[in-house]
Amino acid sequence: MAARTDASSSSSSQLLAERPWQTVVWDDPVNLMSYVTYVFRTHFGFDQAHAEELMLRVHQAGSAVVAEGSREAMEMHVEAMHGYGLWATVRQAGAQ
Amino acid sequence: MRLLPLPEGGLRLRLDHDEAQLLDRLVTQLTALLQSHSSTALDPDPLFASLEVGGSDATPEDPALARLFPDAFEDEGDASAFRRLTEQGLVNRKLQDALEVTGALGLGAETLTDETASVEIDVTEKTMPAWVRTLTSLRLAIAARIGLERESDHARLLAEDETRGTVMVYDWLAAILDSVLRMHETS
Repeated sequence: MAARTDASSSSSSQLLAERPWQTVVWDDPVNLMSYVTYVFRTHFGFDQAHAEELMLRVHQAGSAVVAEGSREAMEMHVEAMHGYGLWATVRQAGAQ
Repeated sequence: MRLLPLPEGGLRLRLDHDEAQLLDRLVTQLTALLQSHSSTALDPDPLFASLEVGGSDATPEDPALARLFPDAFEDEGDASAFRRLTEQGLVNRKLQDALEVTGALGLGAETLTDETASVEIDVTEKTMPAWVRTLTSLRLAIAARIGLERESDHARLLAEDETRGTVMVYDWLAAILDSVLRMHETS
């Protein structure tokens, strides 16, 4: 997945020094493909094509990183994913 | 179950009376399950309800609750700290979603009306999240109850007498959810 660059970030050197945190969504046999796509569109504001691509990655690879950034931001995403009933975890990049 | 697009956006869900009663019963059971895991009374103010702290710190033993409130971290300590901060708010939001659905079904105050009549509910942009999240919560809880853990379990559970009826309900909920989402996508 292409990283979204944030031009307003004032601490890019610090971001490079620290491994970023990730929001990981895991495949499960219950959630519908149409629903996972809907959640990615609704929560992250992804367009339909990108949301579908990520949904397929979750489904086919078993999991996908759907966001990267600070630990606090990833915790908020994961809480939102749990609110939608998706199986999601927070981890630090490189920890898999 | 029928779905009709509304000219002003959103859609109308039409359920036979029996279907509406079944859905109402399922959501009421979900509400009871969520309340059994809640440590506070539901705050009527959604803002405070969503900010509620006071969740448990261990993965729920009940498999349905464990799936509705999964661990957010592999590390047990991190998972437990996250759960304490977020779980009660998640419980409350799922309860509010469920109450919105049962409220829209409106069967509570319907004892005098014609029991053969169908029930029509308009699902708007505003109420759709509560509907799709609640249908999903129901499917997750049912799957956990009957041990549907991988895709191959579905055919096996459908073939077994004991679980066939439950799997059919589970699939019916999927059909409603998928139809709602597809209509939303094209609107």
